Amino acid sequence: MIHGRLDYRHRRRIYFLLAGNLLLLGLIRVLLKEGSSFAEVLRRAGPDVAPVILAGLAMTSVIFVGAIDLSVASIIAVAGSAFGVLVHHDQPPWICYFACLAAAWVLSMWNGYLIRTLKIPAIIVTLAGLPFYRGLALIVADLGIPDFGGNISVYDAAYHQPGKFYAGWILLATIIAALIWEAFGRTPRQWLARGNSEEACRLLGMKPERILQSAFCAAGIFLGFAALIAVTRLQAIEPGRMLVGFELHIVGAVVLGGTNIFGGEGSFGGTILGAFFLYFISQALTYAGASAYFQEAITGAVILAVIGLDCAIHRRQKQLDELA
Amino acid sequence: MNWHEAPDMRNWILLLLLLLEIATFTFLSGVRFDSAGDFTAYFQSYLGDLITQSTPTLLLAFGMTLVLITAGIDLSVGSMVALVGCIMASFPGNTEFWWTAVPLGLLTGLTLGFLNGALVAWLDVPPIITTLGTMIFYRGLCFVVMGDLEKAPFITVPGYEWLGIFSGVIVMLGLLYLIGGPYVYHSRWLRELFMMGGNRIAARYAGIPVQRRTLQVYTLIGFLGFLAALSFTARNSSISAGSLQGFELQVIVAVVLGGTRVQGGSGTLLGAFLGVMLIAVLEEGLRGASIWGDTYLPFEISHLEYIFLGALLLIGVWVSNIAHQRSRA
Amino acid sequence: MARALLQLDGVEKAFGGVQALKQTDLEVDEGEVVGLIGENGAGKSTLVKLISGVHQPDRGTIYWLGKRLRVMSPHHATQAGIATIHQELAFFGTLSVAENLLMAESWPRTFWGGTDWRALFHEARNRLSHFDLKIDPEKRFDSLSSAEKQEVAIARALSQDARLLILDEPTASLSEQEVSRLFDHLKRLRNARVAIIYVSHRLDELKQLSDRVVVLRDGECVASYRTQETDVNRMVRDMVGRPLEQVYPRGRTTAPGRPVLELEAATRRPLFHDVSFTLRTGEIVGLAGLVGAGRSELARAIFGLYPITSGQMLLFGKGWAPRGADEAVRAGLVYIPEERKRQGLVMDHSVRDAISIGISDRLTRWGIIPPKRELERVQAAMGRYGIRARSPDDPIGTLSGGNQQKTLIARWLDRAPQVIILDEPTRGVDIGAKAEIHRLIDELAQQGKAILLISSDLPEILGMSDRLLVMYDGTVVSELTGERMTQENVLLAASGMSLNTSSPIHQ
Repeated sequence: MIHGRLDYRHRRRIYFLLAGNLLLLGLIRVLLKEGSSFAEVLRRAGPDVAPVILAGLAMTSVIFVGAIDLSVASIIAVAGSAFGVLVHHDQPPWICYFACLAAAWVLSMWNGYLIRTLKIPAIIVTLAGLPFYRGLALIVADLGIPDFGGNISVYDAAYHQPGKFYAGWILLATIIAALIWEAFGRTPRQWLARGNSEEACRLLGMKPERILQSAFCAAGIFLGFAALIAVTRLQAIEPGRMLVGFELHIVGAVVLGGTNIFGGEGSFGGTILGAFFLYFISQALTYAGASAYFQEAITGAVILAVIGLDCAIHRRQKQLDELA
Repeated sequence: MNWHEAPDMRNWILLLLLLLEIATFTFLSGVRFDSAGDFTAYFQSYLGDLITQSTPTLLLAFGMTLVLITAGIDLSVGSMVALVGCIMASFPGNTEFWWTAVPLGLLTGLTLGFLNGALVAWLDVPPIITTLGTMIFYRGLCFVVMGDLEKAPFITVPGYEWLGIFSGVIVMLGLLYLIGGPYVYHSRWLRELFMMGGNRIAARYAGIPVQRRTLQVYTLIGFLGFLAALSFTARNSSISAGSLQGFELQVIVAVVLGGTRVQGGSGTLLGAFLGVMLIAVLEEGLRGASIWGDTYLPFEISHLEYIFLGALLLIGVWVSNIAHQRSRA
Repeated sequence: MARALLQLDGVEKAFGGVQALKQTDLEVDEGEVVGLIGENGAGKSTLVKLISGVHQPDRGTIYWLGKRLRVMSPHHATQAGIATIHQELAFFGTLSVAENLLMAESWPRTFWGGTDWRALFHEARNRLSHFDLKIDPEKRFDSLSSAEKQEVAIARALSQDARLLILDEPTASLSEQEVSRLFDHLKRLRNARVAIIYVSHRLDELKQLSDRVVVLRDGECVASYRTQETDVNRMVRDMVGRPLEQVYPRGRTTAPGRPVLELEAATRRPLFHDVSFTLRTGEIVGLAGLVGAGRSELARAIFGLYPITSGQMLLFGKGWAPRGADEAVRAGLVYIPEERKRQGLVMDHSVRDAISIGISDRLTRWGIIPPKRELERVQAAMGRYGIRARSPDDPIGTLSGGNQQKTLIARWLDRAPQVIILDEPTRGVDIGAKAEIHRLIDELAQQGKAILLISSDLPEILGMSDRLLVMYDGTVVSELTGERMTQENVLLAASGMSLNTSSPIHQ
């Protein structure tokens, strides 16, 4: 039920990613050694890629409205700290999970609040948030745990439920919800509208500030689940070091999925496919016996190649349009 | 805002903040001076250390300011410096290092910068995406070159350590900031960069060779990346594939703190310098104040570095935005 | 007696020290069409933005239906029943036409609570067809032509069931036919007691449509009269503040000299094709045509912003295939673009920067621009071209449109170019500055420069040019000289019709 709402260029990207994902899966199937099962590869894909996709959906929402969030990794670190501290104090699992979700949601809302009240570009506000929340995570851990030495150990399997057993299901449910929302919801269209032109929103009597805040609200929810899965997969949470550089990898997946980094254009579906694409490439490399060291280089090269090609195709037209 | 004048005021405020910061941390660190000689000796070594350890950031802040002025950005600087270092580190540490590894490092730096520039200028990929991609790509190449190893051939290269000590870095920085800075400041080249950042389309109509300038700026960053790699490896005497992660954001925070607008069209090199120093003093000062912190704070004082960094950046931009609006009203 | 729908009482507004609107009163009754006229910068758009809630007045009160309005935003205005078509169109390029039409309203939902896209597109199609528009509502808004975009904007505002409709220059990119369709709708709305405020430069339109005309000058309401009791001359006099002399300067006496710019079948599809003409020293050649006929596109190719794909260009008798605008500038050919804000200037930067960028290569010694020499040159240029600014370091954005335009011209003229292409040099410029610019162009021709003048202002292009080239659909269809340079002939040629008294150059 997409109608003509995705333009040709974006649709082409989606088809490319779909075909690419299938091709990579086929490749993995062929490369698979005796003894390992393909079903297992698929089953593992969900949990592995879940934090990237969920954080990617969060990033997509805020990029839709023309903002960006560079502080996602630090926000997850704060959520991890909060979770770890509560676990340390032997709180029941559901309270710890809730704290994790709530911490991510509150900080994401706070980002949105700062951006709309200070009227400072999102990239700066969240660039400031990046070290700030990291420091916050460390201080929370330091205050909550008497002899905090850099990491918080969580051994009890009771606290690993979401990350280790339900990650795939949480991911599946969120993906379905996001896709349905994108297809039938009005809010994502308003985000895109604001991403196109904040001024136009205002002139038409809409409330761009509220639209921005709603995007950060949704992003907070996605991010909460990303944090929950990322954190509960770990035996040891390191608030100071976990997921450093994650935010830019997320932006990479989002952009690979065809979302315009300046807002106003894109899709959740693209982000999901983009994240899977990057994941399957690394898997295929692993099964092909390539050294693990190649993976990051290939990831970067793929992002550059896909987007570079896309830009190159439209380059001439873009330059003419720009001049007119 | 007028780029000739308005930032001056801001630089004075930054300088004031910097002095205040130094005074506070000197007090907190518990150093007491008995004589004037004590005082000068302390600050000589203090400032020397400060500048030496922030050399890579200072070098790249110069380039980052210029690229932000053109409304571009370079997220790949950390990976770039690391990659140049890694490639140089794969040579044996002997006299030949000077005319094998070093020229190759220079070539690498220029190539990496040029590649960024080419993608931005020729293929019209937005700078933030280009350099995001190359940031990941170059970092990946570091791992391809180095694997998990940490190499340290630099110690055994005769004379190499000079690049990492005060007299070495001061030559590098002096050439850049005291000679290059004023030259660039008055140059026609910078004027053109400003116009590109202020209005790219108008710049093309004004006959500015936008593509060529873009290539030049990114390639210059590549060159500065090479210098930064020299100074980093000389000081730390070793490098690994994971070195300098998060360096790009550190540089950007410093430059933005110094009054350069990420939207382009405005910025100063002096501001960038002060921004870097402000952060370096903070980092160094919190380390020095650890005893004070242990006594009075319920958490480790070094965590505050992140908090201050974020708060400074936000408040700095907020205040200058308000000043900007005032000046227009 | 109709009841006052909207009443403005002593409203004032200033932007950064510039008083945009002084002590203005205005009353609009139900079912009344008020024409709002004034020169650029007279405060028309400010007034419109105050009424539609974009800006708040600094002083004074706005009454709506007799009640005082306190805090207003576009949201409140829309709720109250004020629909506005702003001069800058408010749109979302990557969304569909239907979403653009209906974004600010509630959307039809399905049983499950999601958007009923089919119903949404159906609704949009209905509204569009109500205004006789055949635009596919599922199309991406970006892909529409500028006239179509304007029409969608009009359809959106008209279908809001507003009690007051404000149109700020709605006909800028519409053809005659589309304008008359718009007027039919407006008349129908007037009969349904909707009040209309209509801002326009085209006085003949207002004569046709409005009941009352209000004239603004320098932020003040200087006159207000019933349309039937006035004539166009009086309106113009009140707008300008003095009787208007429709005299174009012609101080030049020399005959055109040797050819400097020659085009032979220059083509770059789909922008323009098979353009041939010759431009000689000391003459002004007008390039007329409708918006989108390819005039500016051609000029940009001559200026080297993109190459032609076939044909030939000669500059000073030598082959001309520039690879960039810098090459053109060095060769002595300059182009002054049509949109100052987008294509010409950086609003934040100073007048000094804006001017010296044009001569910087001549100023530079060892890559450095000597500040003193620069300042001298800039100040000299400011004096010569009558650029009024407090200091050379004033941001361009604080200058009036006329002074901005003169700055843009000064940038290039200071390097004494031989060939000058001017694209709409007097658009958005007040009458005084307009006359100065006209005099300047004439002087340049007298000095032996070759000038190609692009303008949509017919009296201007007819008055200034020695001969006229008329473009239609990407090519020059007609060359008019002497007595054949008349408004009728230009209009006929520009809309692709054959002329009675001449034959088109190209069949």
